[in-house]
Amino acid sequence: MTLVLQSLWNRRFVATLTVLAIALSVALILSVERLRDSARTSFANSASGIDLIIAPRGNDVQILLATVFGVGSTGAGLSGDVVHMVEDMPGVAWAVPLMQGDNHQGFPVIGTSSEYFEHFKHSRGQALSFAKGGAFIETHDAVIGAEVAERLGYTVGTEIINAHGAGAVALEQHDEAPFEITGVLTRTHTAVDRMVFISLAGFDELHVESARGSADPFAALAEADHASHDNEHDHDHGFVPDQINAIYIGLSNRTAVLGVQRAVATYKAEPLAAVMPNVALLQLWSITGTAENALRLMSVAVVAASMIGMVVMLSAALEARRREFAILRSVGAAPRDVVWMIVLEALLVTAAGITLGLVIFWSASLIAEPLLSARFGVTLGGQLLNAREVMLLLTVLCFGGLASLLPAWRVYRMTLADGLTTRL
Amino acid sequence: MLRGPSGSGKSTLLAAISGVTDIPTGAVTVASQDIGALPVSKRDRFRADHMGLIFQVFNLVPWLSAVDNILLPCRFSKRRQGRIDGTLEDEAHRLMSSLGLDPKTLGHSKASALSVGQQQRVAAARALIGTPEIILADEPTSALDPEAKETFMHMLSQQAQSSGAALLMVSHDSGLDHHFDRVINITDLTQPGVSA
Repeated sequence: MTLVLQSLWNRRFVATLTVLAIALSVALILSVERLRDSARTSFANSASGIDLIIAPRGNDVQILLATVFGVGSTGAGLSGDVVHMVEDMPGVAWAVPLMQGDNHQGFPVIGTSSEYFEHFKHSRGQALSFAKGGAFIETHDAVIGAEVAERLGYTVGTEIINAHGAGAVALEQHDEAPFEITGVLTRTHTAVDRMVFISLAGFDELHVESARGSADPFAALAEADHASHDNEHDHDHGFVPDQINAIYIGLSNRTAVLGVQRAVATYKAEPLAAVMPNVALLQLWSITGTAENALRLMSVAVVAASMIGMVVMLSAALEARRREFAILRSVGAAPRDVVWMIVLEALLVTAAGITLGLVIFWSASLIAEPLLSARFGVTLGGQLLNAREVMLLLTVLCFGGLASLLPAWRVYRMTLADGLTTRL
Repeated sequence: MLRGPSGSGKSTLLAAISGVTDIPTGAVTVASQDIGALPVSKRDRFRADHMGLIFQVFNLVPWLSAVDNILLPCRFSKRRQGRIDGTLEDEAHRLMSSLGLDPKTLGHSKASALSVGQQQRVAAARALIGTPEIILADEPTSALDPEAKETFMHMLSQQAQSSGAALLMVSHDSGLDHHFDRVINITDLTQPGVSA
């Protein structure tokens, strides 16, 4: 053992390079695996409390991404009447309308009712809670996610101005209507952290006002008509605007899901779709699966390349070490001792590579974590290593040992052939 | 001492005695052990336990220190390790100084940093450590100048004597005959009908 260490130390330059190559490949494969797992858990956590999402008919994945993750949009809106229609369906426990399309400095702005905060569940059934303040009460109140608060330094009482459009570039500022923050949500490690919530009334007002700005007297009349119409239905919601983007549905009875889905799909007044978030996620994974597999395949190839690098290092040194082996033979080392030395050397190099790879992986996660959670609401998970990753590393170690058998076998034949004669 | 011109089979004989090459049963007996009858792994063990070897050149593992080189046999042979009184390091130092090497200055220098003469003496110390029964030396002096040759042979035979080891050396150099009790010419041995 000490002999092997001393021998490696004698070749420390090449050995270090080999360890580094293995370390990088190990860090890569761990990152790819962890990122994939975290993305999946994080997405699943974001959507876990919603049974159905009702939106204008479209692609399931697109609807899911637009509503739960604030990525893209649902296309056309649906009429506010649908909320009442859905609410009265059997098995429906709650329905929360959503309005989208604005952003605040790149963070999506969601118009919703204060019931959202009661009903929305994330990460296996945890409810939202307020780190500071509470839900909005008035039209110009806003609630922000933990990430928004941290990034922009907002707290309860801060006034914010939203911009039209979903992108980070503010094309049109809704200067006329500032919102006052009444609450900051506790961190959830889901997409909610990067959202800004305002009341439906507040959201609607922005857009109604800009519509009125277009100076169409008939449009204004129509608005007024609609407003009075809406008021008749405002028994438990307060205000529901006539155009919304989506509705979250919670069921009191899970078995009702297919009935509700069919009823929504056959709704006569407008084309609607009811999306089950988990089903849509599966669809999403099947789309991204190909890319994921390509990425995994590549990282496996990188690990294989680093293993080959190690075999090259061991093999290249064999010729130069013939004398060393002959001397060891002369002092009583059996050929299998020499073989064992090579295998042990490979295992040591691989183990060192794995250890260094872990260090690289952990430091990279520390650096990447805030970025990932800010941009995508994805957290890598505090866990240092999970069982799967340990298995992965053990597999790498085994392959390191196996790969060394090739040079070891050569050394075995060499020592037998050379005996004690040290021809050079 | 075994003498003979190069190519006459001296080194082959040493290889046979040390059990590195396959030999028929009953051909070689060392310390009342039939080398040919032992399986390969036992021969390695036997060599580690009972023999010390010295070669012409390149005796040492270049990246180990002199002391570590000397102690190499102890890593492979519990028996030789067990025969040393006191610490291994002390014994290595004792052998070094008795062979005219200063353990303080040279003990921890890398073998590759030593002169050829010093390397051969370190090799001799390695062959002697743990008092093996027989020391096999394959032209250990051929890389040394005449004067160094004399002192090396003197010290080696003295140490072999004090540790009670038999010294079998092969060489083509008749100038070294006076260090040995018996000198055999290999050409006599290879004559049919003669036994050693």
